[in-house]
Amino acid sequence: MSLPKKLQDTFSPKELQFMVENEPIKIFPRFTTRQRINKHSDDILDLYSNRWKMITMPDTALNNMVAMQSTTVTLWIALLLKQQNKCNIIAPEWLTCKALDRAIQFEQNNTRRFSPLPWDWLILSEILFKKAPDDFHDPIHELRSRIQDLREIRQLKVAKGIKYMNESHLQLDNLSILEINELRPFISGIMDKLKEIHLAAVGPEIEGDKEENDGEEIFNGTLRNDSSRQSL
Amino acid sequence: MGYYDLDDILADSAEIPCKFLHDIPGLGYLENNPGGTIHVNTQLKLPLWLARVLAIIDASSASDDVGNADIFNTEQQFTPFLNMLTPETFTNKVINAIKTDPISLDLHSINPYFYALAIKWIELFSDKDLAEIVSDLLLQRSQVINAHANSTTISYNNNSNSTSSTGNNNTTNNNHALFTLTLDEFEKKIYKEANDSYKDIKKWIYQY
Amino acid sequence: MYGDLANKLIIEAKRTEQLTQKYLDAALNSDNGGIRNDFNGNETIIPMYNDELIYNILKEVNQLKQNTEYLQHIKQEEEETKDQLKDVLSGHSNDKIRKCQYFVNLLCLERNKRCLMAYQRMRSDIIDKMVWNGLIGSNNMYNNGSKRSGYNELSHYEQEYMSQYKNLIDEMNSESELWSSIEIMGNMNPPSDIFIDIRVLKDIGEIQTEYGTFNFVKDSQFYVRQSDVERLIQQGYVQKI
Repeated sequence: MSLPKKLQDTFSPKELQFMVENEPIKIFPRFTTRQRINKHSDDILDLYSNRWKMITMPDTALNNMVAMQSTTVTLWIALLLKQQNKCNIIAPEWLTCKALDRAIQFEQNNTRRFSPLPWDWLILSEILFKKAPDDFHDPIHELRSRIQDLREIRQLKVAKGIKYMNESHLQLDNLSILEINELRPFISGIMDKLKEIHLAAVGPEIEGDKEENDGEEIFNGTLRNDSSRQSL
Repeated sequence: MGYYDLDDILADSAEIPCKFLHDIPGLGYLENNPGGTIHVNTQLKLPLWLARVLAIIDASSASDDVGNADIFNTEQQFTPFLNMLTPETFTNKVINAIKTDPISLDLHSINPYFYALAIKWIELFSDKDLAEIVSDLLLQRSQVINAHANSTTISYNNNSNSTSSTGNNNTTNNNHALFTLTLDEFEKKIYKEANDSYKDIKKWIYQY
Repeated sequence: MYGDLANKLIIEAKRTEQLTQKYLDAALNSDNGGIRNDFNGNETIIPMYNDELIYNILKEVNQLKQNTEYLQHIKQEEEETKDQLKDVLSGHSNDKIRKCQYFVNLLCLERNKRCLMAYQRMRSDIIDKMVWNGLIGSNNMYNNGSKRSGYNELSHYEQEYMSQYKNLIDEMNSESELWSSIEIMGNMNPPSDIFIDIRVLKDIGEIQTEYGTFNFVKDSQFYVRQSDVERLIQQGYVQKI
């Protein structure tokens, strides 16, 4: 196969980061791109000379930016503008000390459930800590420590939760994509094996009347007659 | 599993004690007696790939000629060439050991391909009890495997991607190494995959 | 005992699989995303094709084949004398015996075949992975000149297989407009930053980009577009900071 074995069944964290960078986020741009259309202007070509055209996303947001008015763009655009000092990123609501504290409280009070954090909380927080540390109201080290706490509590809960694995069903609600990704190879491997064991015991489905098919059991390749098996 | 799967092939080479139900001349080489005959009720250890088919095939319906059918024997009797007896892997002793302490059991020394062998055995005999015991064993051991896979430390050195044993990491890494020695081949594979995925994520968090 | 040699072959195949897995994992984890360029030619990814063991197994298979021919011969003789036999029961037991002997023979043959096929399949999988990793190939500039280690460990047929596989991939790459814009042999890591800081490791000289000409002297640092220097990173001439 052209894809290495490790990547055949799960994503790498870098790929997940790439996916998360496609999400929308609010920013304060520091420059204006919106232009007032002057109906009486003769120079129509000028109107369109500064417009950007994007291939992979709608360009209305980019072309209508007004300085210091919040607008929503994709994350990777926001990061690029931030790097060039052309905008300020607005931290999402769940990424404040208060909200995180509430989430930690929830985790500690409900030992059988996970708090409803957004699906990309871990990845997004790491990206923002690295690229836009000055855009947060609260100091970064406090936010980081809370994120770490959350991660550890959830990991312990997950370890408890996988005790209830059986060959057909396991349900853990509200896990983020990174957490699911790290569990995926382990859980799918174990559940596949449990399924194999279960199917081997139950046997292939035999349609029709059971008695009529007794004579055909020889050809199924199994020895259902216990008397043929003797113990030492 | 699959035809080309190496683990499947190696699991098939496990030896099973068998008892022959007929006299077969010419197969003496199976018991190191070339040219001799194997007599009824001889017990031999044969590999699973050989024993399985000989235990399934019906020896009595050998004749194609309907006219030669035994008119005195109207019952359809199913007699294979040999009977497979319980191998050492599934004796009561082992099953009791599994029930008492599934976690610290040294599965590798019982049989390095325990799970593959168990699945084949269960399929042959539709043994629901054994299936339950093995499922439970797997579930309990998987918790421990997950715990071990999660706790391996990584080095922060950019040049090496493997775990380095420095100073006080020595004992934990030794524990992990000793633990993996007691795992069966399938468990080792799962351990490695889980460990890799946890390691990748930790690396991404710290290097990002 | 028939099948023992085949077992040895499979054990060796398993060891090979584990060795290569380690090597390929290390390649994937490196920064240039799956392309090894520090290959010094002394490492062997794939062990020698085990000619001797295969030859012995094939001899065993031949022996088994002779056994089947012998059994066939015996059966024909029995068929001819069967009509003269009055003892039906002994005819039955003879049939049983023949059947058992036949099955044992057949099973040994099939076992040997399966082991041989699995060994070959394992090796061809490794060859595929090596080709995709860009390690082996003369028209591949990522390779350090003529150091095509691993090539000599293959049997003649495997070498042919490898060059035909490579040709197939090259054909697919250059065939249509659709494929030529996707870098199939490129980096496994998704692109992250548009502009990155790099440090030059070796003297390359002048590189021309859209943003101007850069003089890449050893140990100098530049802030350039990632897609421009992607190739150079893979070849190991520059390093991302």
